[in-house]
Amino acid sequence: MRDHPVATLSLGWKQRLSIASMLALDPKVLFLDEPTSYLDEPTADLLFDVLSAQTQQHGLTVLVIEHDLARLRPWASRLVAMRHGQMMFDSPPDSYSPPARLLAEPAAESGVGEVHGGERALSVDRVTFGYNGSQPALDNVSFSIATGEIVALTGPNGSGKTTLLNLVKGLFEPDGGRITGADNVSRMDSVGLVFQNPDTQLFAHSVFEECSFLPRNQGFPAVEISSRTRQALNDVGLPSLADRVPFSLSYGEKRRLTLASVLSGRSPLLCLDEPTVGLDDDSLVHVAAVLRQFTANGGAVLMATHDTEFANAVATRRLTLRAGRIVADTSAPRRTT
Amino acid sequence: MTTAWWTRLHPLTRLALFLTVCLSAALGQDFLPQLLLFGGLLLLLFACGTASSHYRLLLWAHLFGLPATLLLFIAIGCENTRALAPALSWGLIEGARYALRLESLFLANLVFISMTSTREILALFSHRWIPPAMGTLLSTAVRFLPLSLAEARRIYDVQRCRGLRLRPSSPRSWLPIVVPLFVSQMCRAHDTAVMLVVRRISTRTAAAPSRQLAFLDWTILAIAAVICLQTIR
Repeated sequence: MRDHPVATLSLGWKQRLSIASMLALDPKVLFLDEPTSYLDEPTADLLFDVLSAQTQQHGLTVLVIEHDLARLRPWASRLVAMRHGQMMFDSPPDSYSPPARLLAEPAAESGVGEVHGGERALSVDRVTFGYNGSQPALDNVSFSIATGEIVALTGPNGSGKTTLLNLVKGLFEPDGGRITGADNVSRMDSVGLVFQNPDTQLFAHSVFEECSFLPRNQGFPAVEISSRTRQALNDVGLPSLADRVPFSLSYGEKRRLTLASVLSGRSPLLCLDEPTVGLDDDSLVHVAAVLRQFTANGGAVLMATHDTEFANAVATRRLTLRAGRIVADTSAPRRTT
Repeated sequence: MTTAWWTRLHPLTRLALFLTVCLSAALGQDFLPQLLLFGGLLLLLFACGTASSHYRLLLWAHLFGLPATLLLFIAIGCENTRALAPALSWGLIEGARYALRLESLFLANLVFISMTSTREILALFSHRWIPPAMGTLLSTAVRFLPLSLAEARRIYDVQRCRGLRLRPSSPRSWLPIVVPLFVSQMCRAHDTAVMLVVRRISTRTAAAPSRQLAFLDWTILAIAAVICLQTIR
C-alpha cells in the first residue's frame, strides 16, 4: 500500500493509516476516539494487540473512547463509564456489567444466491465491476433479496461492500452482469441509500425541510410530503426536533435524520452503509426498531456493517464479501422482540 | 512504453510553467491568446488522462455559470453607459474574457496537480528559504481545488440519491451541493489544522527533488521567465 494514493483508500484503510501515523510518532500517551468504527473485526483485534504490546513493552498509556464495550473488555485494564457528562463507574472492566446493547442469536448455513422470504426485492446476477480498469472491486457477485429480509453485508476493509451498495442504488453501472430492483423500476427510485457521513448531505435550515427533500423531488403534493416527513421523523424518534437546524444536532441525531430523509421516500429496498458507526445505545435501539418495522411493512434491507453484534441481533441473513467475491451466505431465524 | 514529455520535467519546471500560465491568464488582455491558452490547457488535461468525472462536474458548473457571468457584466455595462446596445457588447466581451480567465486558472491548477504527485509538491516547498508553515500552506493551497472537486463529486452522488436534479437556470438547485461542500471544507480545514499540530508537521522532513535541472528544464524556465516579464510589462 506504500505508494497507493490516499484519496482512493476505503474508509477502513484510511482509519488504519491515521492510527499508524500516530503510532509512528512513538507517543507516551495515546488518545483514540472510536478507533474501530470503520475497522473489520480482525483489524480491530490486531489494533488492540499492537496497543497492548506497546503498553507492556514501552510503557505507552492508551485512552480509548468506545461505545462497544464487549470489544474493548479483553484489552482494557480500567474502565470508566460516563453518562450525561458524569462518571458512573471507574474500575477494572471485569467488575462492570453493561446493559446489553441488543440481543443476538446465532446464524445457520444456507446456499449462496438463494431467495429467502417473500417477493424478490433485488436481484444481483453475476455482477463484475472495477474502478478505472484496475483489479475488479467486485467479481461475479450473485444474490437476491426478498421482501421482509434484513441482510447484513460483512467483510474486511476494502472488500467491496460500499461499492456494491453504490451499484445497487444505481450510482455506477456494472461492467458485467445485471442488477434488477423491484418491478423493474429504475433503481434510483426503488432503492434508498443511507450514506456513512451525514455532513455530506445536510443543507436545509430545518430538520423538517431536510427530511422532506426526497419526497419533494419525487413530485408529491404538499400534503403527502408533510405526512411522509412526519411519519419518517416519528419512526426515527425525532418528531420533537422538526424545527431545529440540522447542523445543531448531535452526531447520532444527524445519522437518524439522514435515515429519516431516505425513509420518507418509501423505497421498497433500503440500503445502509455502516448504520451503527458513532451511535450510542439509545440511537442503536432506535435504528434496530426502524429496520424491523420497515421489513415488517413489506420492505427489504441491505446493510454494510462491521458491527457483528448489531448484525447478529437485527439481520435475518448475512452475506460475507472477501476481495470482491461473496464467500458466505448465512441465514438466521427472524427474531421477534 | 513511451513516457509523456511532462513526466521528464523537473517538478520545479512544472511549478514555473504553472505560475507562468496563471500569470498570463490573470493579467493577459488580448482575447485570442487567452482563448488559445484555454484550448491548450484543456487538451493537456485530457492528454494527462485525468479528466475524469469529478473534474467534469465543476467544469460544467463553471460553464453553467457563464450565462450568469455575462448577465452580470451586461448589468454593469448598463449601469455605466445607460444604453442597452453598448452595454450589451461591452458586457458580452468583458464577461467572456473574465470567464475565460477563470477557466484557464482552474484548468492550469488541475493540469499541474495531474502532472505532479503530492510528494513532489511537498518536496518543492521544503527549501531552507521557505518557512515550514508557509511551505505547508502553499502545498495545501495548490491541492485545494482537486480535493474540493473530489468532495463535490461525493456530495453530488449523495444528493442524486435523494432525487436532486441540477438545473443550470436555478441557483437554488445547487444549494444541496454548495452548503455541504462549504461545511465539509470548513471541517476539513479544522481537522487538517489539528492534524498538522498533532503530527508536528514540517515540510523540511519531505525529501527534496533528487534530480538536477536538465537542458529542457533550463530552456522552459527561460521561456517562462520571458513570458512572465512580457505579461507584467
